[in-house]
Amino acid sequence: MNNENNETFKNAPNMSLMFTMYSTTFGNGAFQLLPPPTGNMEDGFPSIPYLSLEAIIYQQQSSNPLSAPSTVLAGASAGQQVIGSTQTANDATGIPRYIIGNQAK
Amino acid sequence: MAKGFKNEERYKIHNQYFEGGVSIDPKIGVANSFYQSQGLDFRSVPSQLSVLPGARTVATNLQDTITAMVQDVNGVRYGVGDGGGFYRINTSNVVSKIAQLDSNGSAGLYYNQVTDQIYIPSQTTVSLYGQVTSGNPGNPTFRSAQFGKSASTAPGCVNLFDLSSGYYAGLSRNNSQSITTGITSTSQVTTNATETYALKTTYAENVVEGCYFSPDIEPFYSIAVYIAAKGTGNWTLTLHDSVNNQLAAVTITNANLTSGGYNEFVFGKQIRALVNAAQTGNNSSYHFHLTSTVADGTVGTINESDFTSTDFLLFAYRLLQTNNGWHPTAFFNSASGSFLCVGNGPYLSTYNFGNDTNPLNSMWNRHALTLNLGHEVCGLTTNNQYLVIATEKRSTTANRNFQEGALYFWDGTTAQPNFKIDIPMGAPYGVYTFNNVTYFCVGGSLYAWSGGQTVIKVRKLAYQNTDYLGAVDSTIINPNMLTSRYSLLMIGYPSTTTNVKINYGVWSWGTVELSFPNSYGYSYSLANNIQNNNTGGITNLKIGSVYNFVDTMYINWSYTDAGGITRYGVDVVDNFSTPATSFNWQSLIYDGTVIYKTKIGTRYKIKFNSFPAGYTLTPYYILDRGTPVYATASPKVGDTDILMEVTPGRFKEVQWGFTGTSSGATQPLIISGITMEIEPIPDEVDLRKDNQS
Repeated sequence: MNNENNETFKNAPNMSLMFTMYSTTFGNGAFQLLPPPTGNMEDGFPSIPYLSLEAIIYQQQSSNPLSAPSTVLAGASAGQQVIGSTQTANDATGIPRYIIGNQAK
Repeated sequence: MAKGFKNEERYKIHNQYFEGGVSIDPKIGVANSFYQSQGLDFRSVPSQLSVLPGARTVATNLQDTITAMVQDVNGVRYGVGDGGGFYRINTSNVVSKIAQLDSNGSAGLYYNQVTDQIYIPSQTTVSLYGQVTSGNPGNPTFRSAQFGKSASTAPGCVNLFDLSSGYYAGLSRNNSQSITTGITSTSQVTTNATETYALKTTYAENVVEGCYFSPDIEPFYSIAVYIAAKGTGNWTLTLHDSVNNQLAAVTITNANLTSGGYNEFVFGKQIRALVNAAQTGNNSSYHFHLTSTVADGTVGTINESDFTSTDFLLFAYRLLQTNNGWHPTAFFNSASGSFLCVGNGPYLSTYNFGNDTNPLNSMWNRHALTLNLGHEVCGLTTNNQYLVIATEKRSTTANRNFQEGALYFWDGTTAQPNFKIDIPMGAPYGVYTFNNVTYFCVGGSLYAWSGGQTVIKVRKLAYQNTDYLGAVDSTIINPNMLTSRYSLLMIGYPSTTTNVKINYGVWSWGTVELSFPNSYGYSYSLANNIQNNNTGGITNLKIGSVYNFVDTMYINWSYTDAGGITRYGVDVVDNFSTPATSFNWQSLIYDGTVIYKTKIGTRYKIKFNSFPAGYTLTPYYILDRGTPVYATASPKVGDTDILMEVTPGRFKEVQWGFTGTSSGATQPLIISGITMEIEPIPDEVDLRKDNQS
């Protein structure tokens, strides 16, 4: 007897949802409509993919940082820029090397 | 995967994993979800259901419902009730009343471990209690209304208007600006009035018969005027706004007036006003007139015969009386200092602990932030560097609610909130930050915010809408209803409601580890198992607050019984709790995704570990959404399953579950499998009229 509906692999779509399928603009891009029943009798309950709150929060925080990116002024080609935020990664000497999403003002 | 017959012709619809939690739909949900549960743990070990500890009542000797709690450094806990009772809960959970506030409690309470004082806002004042663990051990002092009214020392009230600068920058009416503590009494102030103005029996609305001012604090409590000579008449102070609407008029009889001193015209109710409005002299935001029934009195002035230079003091309440009755509290560290933050209607008040005896208005800043006028703070929490301020718009008519709210975010350094998220869905109640995600309840649903532009609707708590309810829904969730217990979010829901379909209790949200889904369930009912308001003679059912301290959760409640007696209590869930006295579980509805087809239920089995003493377990099934059919016997001690014949068994839809009770049990009942066996009857014609047997 088939017990597919009790198997936890039904949650596997969560992986793709976490990385690509939710945006605050378009919502749940991976939402899957249940297909119409086939007419075959099932031996369990139909289930829908699990979309975790953490996946949405991850998407929100990476795609819509709270502080807007600094304005880039045309013509400024020299000078010192102070970069630092909770979203930077520094090298061993403390120099910011990567910025994810935004730059501190 | 192929469907159909395999080794046998009967299907076993089997529930063996339960981590999906309660689904919002009766038929579909995430894998291993179910339709309903109460008092069952389906997360700790997701392959089983076990009975959770039940709440037990530890106190009924209260006179109101606790809406806020704190714990001191010694482990003693304190609670303030919505009726103004202030309670001590000792380390054995014995509750005793310490004091009665000067007005109702306001769901705010804060313990400062450094000063060892508890700060207790009531409706318009703040009381202090302490020192609770040091100082005079065992005998803390309750200081009722320690922070009450205080007078404005702002230029708009104290200084005369200076035509040359266009500001209230002229001579001072009195010495209030040189006093280094808050001004709570006229006796602290010395007048600068050396001239007088002779009162008339009537006043005219012109620039010389009004005393204009621009307040920095509200709501107004009183105006104290320096009387040079009271004469023989009764004096009346009439307060106007800028367009001469009368805000208040107060008369003091001559016998109660004092010459050569300040006389305080107390309004008797709060007078709401705009603060920090434009200071434009004679077009200022507020003014008052003074008249006497006999034109023989004089008021002290700075300039001769100039009523606009009258010496007066404007007193304001410390807190304003809100429609929602709340002044939530939170401690907040910011780049500009650390504050006790108090929701104060459309304002955020801050206190820097500068002077517990009598703080200056700059120390207790009534209007540190001005939010939407008309909004009232309904919750405070913190998220990263921000104080999160939840506001609602509360009607004074319970069945005509507003649908308006907002979340404000403030880093503590700016004059206005850093940003705001409108919540047009309704009031954002119970705001609480858990795992740096700020949760709140709006209109029957749980929402979350964690740094994005939008708030996230997490799931339904109680309802998506109230269509067909047949009554006006007014559901309120108090500020301190959400807490965390064992790394799960606990949601006390609701505080009050007119919706008889909503079950009162503590609902849980979360997961025990990251590979299992967040799930939702009804975990804890009140110890008396009263779940619905306006049902069975129960009215005014209320959950005032829910707090968790490590392994001990408090649920504070009240209700009016059928005899009209209102009862108050404190429930506790802790390590000494026995299993929930009532628990239940219900599956999703099964139709095989062929709802048109008749199936036959044959047997229903619940598998469990050795059945412990003190329990009953009653399986049931429901055919075609009809009346539940219950088993007639419960398992015996030591049994490992119970089997129930399904008869009559023909159905299109079937649902199954169980109810259980415990009494005297000490260990949880553990259920490991729930199975319905059905006969698919493939030879029977699928599409037939429903009433054909």
